[in-house]
Amino acid sequence: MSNTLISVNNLSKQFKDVHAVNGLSFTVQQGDIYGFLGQNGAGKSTSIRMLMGLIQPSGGEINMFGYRMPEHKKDVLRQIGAIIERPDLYKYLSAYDNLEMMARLSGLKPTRQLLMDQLDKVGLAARAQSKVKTFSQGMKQRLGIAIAMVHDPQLIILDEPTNGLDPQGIAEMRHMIINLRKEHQKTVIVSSHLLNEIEQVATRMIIIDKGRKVIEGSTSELFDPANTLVELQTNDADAAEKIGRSTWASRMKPEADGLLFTLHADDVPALAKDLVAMDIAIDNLSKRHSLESLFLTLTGK
Amino acid sequence: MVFTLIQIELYKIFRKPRTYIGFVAIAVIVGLIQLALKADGQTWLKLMFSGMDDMFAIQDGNVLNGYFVCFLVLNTLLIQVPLLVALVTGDMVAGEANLGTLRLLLTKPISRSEVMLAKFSAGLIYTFVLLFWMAILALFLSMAMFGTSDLLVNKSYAIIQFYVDAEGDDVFWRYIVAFGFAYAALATVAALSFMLSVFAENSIGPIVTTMSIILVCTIISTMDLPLFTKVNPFLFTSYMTSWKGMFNMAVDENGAAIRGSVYSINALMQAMGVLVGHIVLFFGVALYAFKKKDILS
Repeated sequence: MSNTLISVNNLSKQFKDVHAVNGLSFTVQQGDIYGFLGQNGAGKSTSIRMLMGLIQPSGGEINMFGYRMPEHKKDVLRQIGAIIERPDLYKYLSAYDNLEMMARLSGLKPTRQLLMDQLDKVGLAARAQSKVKTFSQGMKQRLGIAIAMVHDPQLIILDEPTNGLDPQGIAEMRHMIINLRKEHQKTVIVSSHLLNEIEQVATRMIIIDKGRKVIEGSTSELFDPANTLVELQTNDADAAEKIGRSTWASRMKPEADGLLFTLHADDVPALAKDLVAMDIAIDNLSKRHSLESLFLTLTGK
Repeated sequence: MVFTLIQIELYKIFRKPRTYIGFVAIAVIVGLIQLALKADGQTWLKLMFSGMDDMFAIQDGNVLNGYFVCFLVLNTLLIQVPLLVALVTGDMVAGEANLGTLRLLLTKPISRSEVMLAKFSAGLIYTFVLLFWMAILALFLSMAMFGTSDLLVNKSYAIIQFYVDAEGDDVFWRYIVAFGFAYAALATVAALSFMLSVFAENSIGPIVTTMSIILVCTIISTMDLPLFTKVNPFLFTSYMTSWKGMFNMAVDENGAAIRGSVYSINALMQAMGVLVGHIVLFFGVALYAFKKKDILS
């Protein structure tokens, strides 16, 4: 049976004339990796900052762990570990000092062993005494994770966790997010403007655009294989005409740089075979990213 | 939790290189003054008192003593020290906003009031330590270098200039209280820059604004114009040098300074009241604004 950790109802934030978040409602269940997807400026960070009590909502309700925010901020934050946007740390202090300070602020009386174990988990034990200013973005991100996890919170919030990371760092982060749920039974909220990042880790997700919810649901619900988009790029000037006379005509739409098909994922091999049979020179035939197509369809981009 | 927070804030302050600028600057300035006075102080004094030999009877006294040097140092340095205070206290909130660590701090289970209380307390402790450092160098080191004797203080009221002579053993306690008043003045500067720090996203703004406010208010305080005279009693800058009041002694009917006396205790109490009032006001505004502030950095 699911257990609702977060319930947000009609949340709004207005900065002067700009509605950064407008009537947003969603729920996060225990054990979810909940993806927050939206373009830059869609309202993801503002929403997350309101969850953390960093920004005061203009309207709406936030209930977390059975407490109302921001009235019970301390009770709520005790159960959350977070990295908001960037892992900004005290650069003039060592990794160990940063972690110790934040552990104490989380209400712990940390032992050296506990702190070193935590640094070891994120692969920074050997650099414990190095100043943070000497760290790469990936190392800062890992230290940020150690800080977020040090008090063993129920919920981890990661706002744009792959920002500034190299491909290897991104893969490590993805692996770590999945592990947080699998091995540590944590609930994770992860926001990103990168569709594939969310799709690869999230169990449930929300898409927001211009501060409003576009859609919310489980990733498996939102990814419908019956509506897979396939792009064809070809130099064949008669391709559209040839396909127009075939059984694929109703599922084809011309686009600026090629032809776009909407079909079931299982039909892609048959399409490829027919294109060859029609003697169409194929430069490229590829499935458009599943969530990308959904996102573009829903947001009308 | 507030105690833990204060410890952490102090740790952060004293791990920043910029914190030590103030300590080094004070050591250099005081050292230079002491060195210059040690080398050529008597000549300078003779020049100062030339033509007044018949007005004073300083037979056995050593005018250039530790107390005199300390007075001279305080008189010179307490105008610059607010900058050294603002350098740290103006950075306490704005600096963290700029680094992004304010966001990190506020994701921890601590209230904003606790954060402000801890930061301000740490700022006040830093100010105290800075002044204590100044006291060690300006008073105790000067006493060791120049010895102790009576203190001759230059008093200027309008165009009349005169000197008050406090006996050596009547001076030390005055300095202790005077440092208390100097601390109240610097704590007011700390509170002002701390308040401005809440409204800024980098520390340059609060530091420059603090010094500008002090400059403008000091000009208003020192210009004897009717309009300004009405405002002066309410400006904290009018009381920045109230510590000097501890060396303003009452005189008897023969014009001799009364041992253990202070000329106007009421004026000193008023000065302390205005300074403390400003500290409470500045911190109150800072607290209110910070609790309402959206953390966007």
